Amino acid sequence: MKGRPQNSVRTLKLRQQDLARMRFAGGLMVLGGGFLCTRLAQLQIVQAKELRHIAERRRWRGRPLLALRGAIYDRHGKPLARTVMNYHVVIDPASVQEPWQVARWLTRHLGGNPKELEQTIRERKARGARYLLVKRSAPPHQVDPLLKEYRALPFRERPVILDTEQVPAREYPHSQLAPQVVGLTRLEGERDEGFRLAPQGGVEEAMEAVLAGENGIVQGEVAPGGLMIPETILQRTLPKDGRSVRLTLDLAIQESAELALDELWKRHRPLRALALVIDPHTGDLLAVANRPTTDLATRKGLEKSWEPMRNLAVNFLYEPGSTIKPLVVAWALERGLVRLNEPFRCAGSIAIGRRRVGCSAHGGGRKAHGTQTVEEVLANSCNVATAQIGLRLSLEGVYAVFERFHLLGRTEINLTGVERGYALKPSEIRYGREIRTANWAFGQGLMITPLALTASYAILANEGVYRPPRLVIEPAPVAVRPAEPVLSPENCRTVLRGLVHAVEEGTGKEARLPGYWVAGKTGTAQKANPKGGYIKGRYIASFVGIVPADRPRAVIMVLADEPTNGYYGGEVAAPAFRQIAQFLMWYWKVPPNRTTATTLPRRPERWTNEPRTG
Amino acid sequence: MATHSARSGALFPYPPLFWLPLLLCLIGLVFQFSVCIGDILKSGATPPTPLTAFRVVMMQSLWLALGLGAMSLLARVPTRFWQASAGFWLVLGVLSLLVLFVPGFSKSINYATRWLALPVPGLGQVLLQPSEAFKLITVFWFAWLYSTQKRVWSLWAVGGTALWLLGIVAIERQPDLGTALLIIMVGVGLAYLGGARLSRLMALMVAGVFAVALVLFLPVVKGMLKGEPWEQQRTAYRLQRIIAMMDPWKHQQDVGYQMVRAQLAVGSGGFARLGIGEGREKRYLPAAENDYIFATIAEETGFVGSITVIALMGLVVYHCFRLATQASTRFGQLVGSGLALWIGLSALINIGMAIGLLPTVGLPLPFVSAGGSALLSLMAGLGIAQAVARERG
Ligand SMILES: [Zn+2]
Repeated sequence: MKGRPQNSVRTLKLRQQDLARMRFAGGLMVLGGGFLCTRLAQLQIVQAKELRHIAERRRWRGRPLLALRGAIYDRHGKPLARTVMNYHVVIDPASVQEPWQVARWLTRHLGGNPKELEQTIRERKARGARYLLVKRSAPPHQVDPLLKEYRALPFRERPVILDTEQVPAREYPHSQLAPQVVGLTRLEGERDEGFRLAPQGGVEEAMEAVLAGENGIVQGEVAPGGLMIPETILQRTLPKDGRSVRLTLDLAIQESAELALDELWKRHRPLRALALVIDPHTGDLLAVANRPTTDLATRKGLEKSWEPMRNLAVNFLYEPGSTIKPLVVAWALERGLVRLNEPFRCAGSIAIGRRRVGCSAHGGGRKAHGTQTVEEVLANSCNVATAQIGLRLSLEGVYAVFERFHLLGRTEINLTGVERGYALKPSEIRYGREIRTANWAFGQGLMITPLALTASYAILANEGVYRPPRLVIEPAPVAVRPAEPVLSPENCRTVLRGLVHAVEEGTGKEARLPGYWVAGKTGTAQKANPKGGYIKGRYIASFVGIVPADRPRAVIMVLADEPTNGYYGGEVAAPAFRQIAQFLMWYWKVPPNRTTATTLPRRPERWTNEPRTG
Repeated sequence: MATHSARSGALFPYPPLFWLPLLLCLIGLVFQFSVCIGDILKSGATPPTPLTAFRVVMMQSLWLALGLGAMSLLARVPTRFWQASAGFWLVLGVLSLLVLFVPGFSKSINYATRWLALPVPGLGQVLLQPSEAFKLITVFWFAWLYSTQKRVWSLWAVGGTALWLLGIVAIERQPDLGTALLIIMVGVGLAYLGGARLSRLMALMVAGVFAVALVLFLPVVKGMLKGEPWEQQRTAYRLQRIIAMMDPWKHQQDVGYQMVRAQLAVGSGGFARLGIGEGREKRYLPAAENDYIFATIAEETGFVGSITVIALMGLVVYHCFRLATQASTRFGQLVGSGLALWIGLSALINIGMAIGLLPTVGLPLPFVSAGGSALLSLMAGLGIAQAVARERG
């Protein structure tokens, strides 16, 4: 505009007005440029530090490094629960240009209904949302091909901005075996702090400290695609994986217990049922099967109630009934209050205080057992004789039975929801001490857990030595409680002989096993009403048995709450006991020592070449 | 300066209008490259070939070569040709804008239909943006309008201007309000420089302000009648952007996001910091190689670099005006002025948007932003400017 050339040849004379207008327009633009420079100075000189700080803080991210939750194995190292890394697939709905195409592409890889997804994307997009969880916890075999396809596209040509968030998930190779023991987990946390699996019951919860592990963190700047820029990483704490837990359960035995309960369930339709197998020499729980049950993978039945996850072995209190009698007798023998050949007379009933206690015949009515030895008292499950023995022990003595056999209080075991067995203290009982003694002696007026009763039978099977029940082999507990002798081996054998008679001639005939001696006791207890008294017509049928009786290898308890089609322990629980016992003898290759011919049990196909358990 | 006539035989008779734009183009390529490097990490994996990662730069280099070719070719075409065919180009330009509304010919990105998609063997789809060419055509048309001898509002003039307005409406409907406004400003500016009466210009400006207000508020009013509050209307995004500009930090989760990000990028640059390729914020900027390339330049070269780019732009504008004063024909004079307006206003709006002085509009920074159609149109315009220079004397 300035410095108009003087010596150029021009055919056009620049008009003054044009020049002035050019100058004005140019001036305006210079003014605009001045604004720009001022603003730049403001941003880049005056506010530079502040803005740079804000920008850095925004780019700075902590990314969790996820720890793997420890696995849960059975005693032979077969996995019951293990952790895999899955992915939440998320998208930015605002980045989607063609919802239908994107929805079809995503559902092709991840499954689901493309129409519904398209609808969701449209809705979120309209609302301006920047985050949409397309698929929760998708396994790598779905996500990997998706990401491969996605990343092959140049950034600009991608139909959607997609991201994945690593999440841990539990995998259950044997999801139907012992779900109540294993327990469940729930996904907790969020991307920035790190997802973790929170335990819900069972060993998962009881062993949380061992299994959990600790998430690590890496801090640095993150590019919009979600990747951490390598040169900006300032801090990295590696995750500590959780340790694995090895249980005492044996999956082969567990499956046989589950099968036995299936059959019981079909035949008797009880409210609930339990099968429990314990190794009496170690206290190891070999199998814990519950009904109703669920599947850990599908969580079938858990939508309505948590009942299928209830572990009746520890989370169920009941009156043991007749099954307590052998313990009372054993303790009386031990205290020298009962002699081996002493005769006990039963006339069908006995008057205790103002009450009358009687022996009932199978099918109703009174039954007189006549003169019996101690062994015969057990075989006959004679209430009259047991009451007499109880009275010799006195109220305090019978209470001592409960304490010495660890029936009361909470059993120490790595499970949650362990109930506390209870009975009134003798000092609290003022009236009717005698009738109370008699009732206690045949198993009324105390509430215990099935596990506690099974563990006390393990004393009989383990030459009188109490082994606390154990569920976890590894990691080994820091303090091992010493084995505690309760009975002498001779007295144990006497009681076991009585219990063999109970199976051979008494109420437990259904438990007889060809080729082996079986010791066992049935229990048929009327259900106690929480408001006092008993509920008519509602029973808990149970059977506790020891096989083989001459060289015990296992204590098995079967319990059914409110069975139909019969309610005696002998007809409801004993067949299931026999089924499990038969499998055990075959599985452990225990040589039969009875002359009667034996047949092999039905082979569960899964464990044809199972190693012998120790 | 004393030997203009001697230079008229040279390839480019007005060298500053060759070297300065070329320098700006090269700066643009460098920073587009820098943005591509930043994008590699974004994609989350190594791209199959470097070609795909740097496609933007490669394409821009091709366009630059094409643009330089066009420039040297057009430098030899007499300006009479353009003056005579201005009406033809206007018709062609408006037609190409209208073709965009025919489904099948055009390609939509982010709800905007601005591109003609041409399949080119070896390069995939090449996108052409007719509205960029329309800027050059606007310069032609107004240069013709105010350089024809008979200053009567002939049928030609009225009809042509009506056609031009139709083109602008077509651009606004793409929707691309930014480009439409820029073209109006170039047109009105040229009318002013061409000697239009001030009273007429004032009337025109009032009409323009009214039209803009209509465009901004009509969708809002329509939405309100349906009972939607205006903050939630997608069609009211233009008004929302203006509101957001007042205080982008308050709206940084939605409409203010780009503005805040751009300001963070510019501020991070400081006085002279980082270095080329070291920018971090560029990864977060939408259209970082295009509309927001200035933010990347500012982040990586600081205040010094930003001022340098503004100064180079200023020099180009200055030389365009200078050429206008030297032109031998009135048409040439107005073409020079038109180029100055086009380049100057684009730069002012683009940079103003990047540093938060103006609301977000999608206008490229001349020569620097990635975009083939824009570069080709500008280079063609400069080629004609060289022809004007050749005819100086
Ligand atoms: Zn009796």
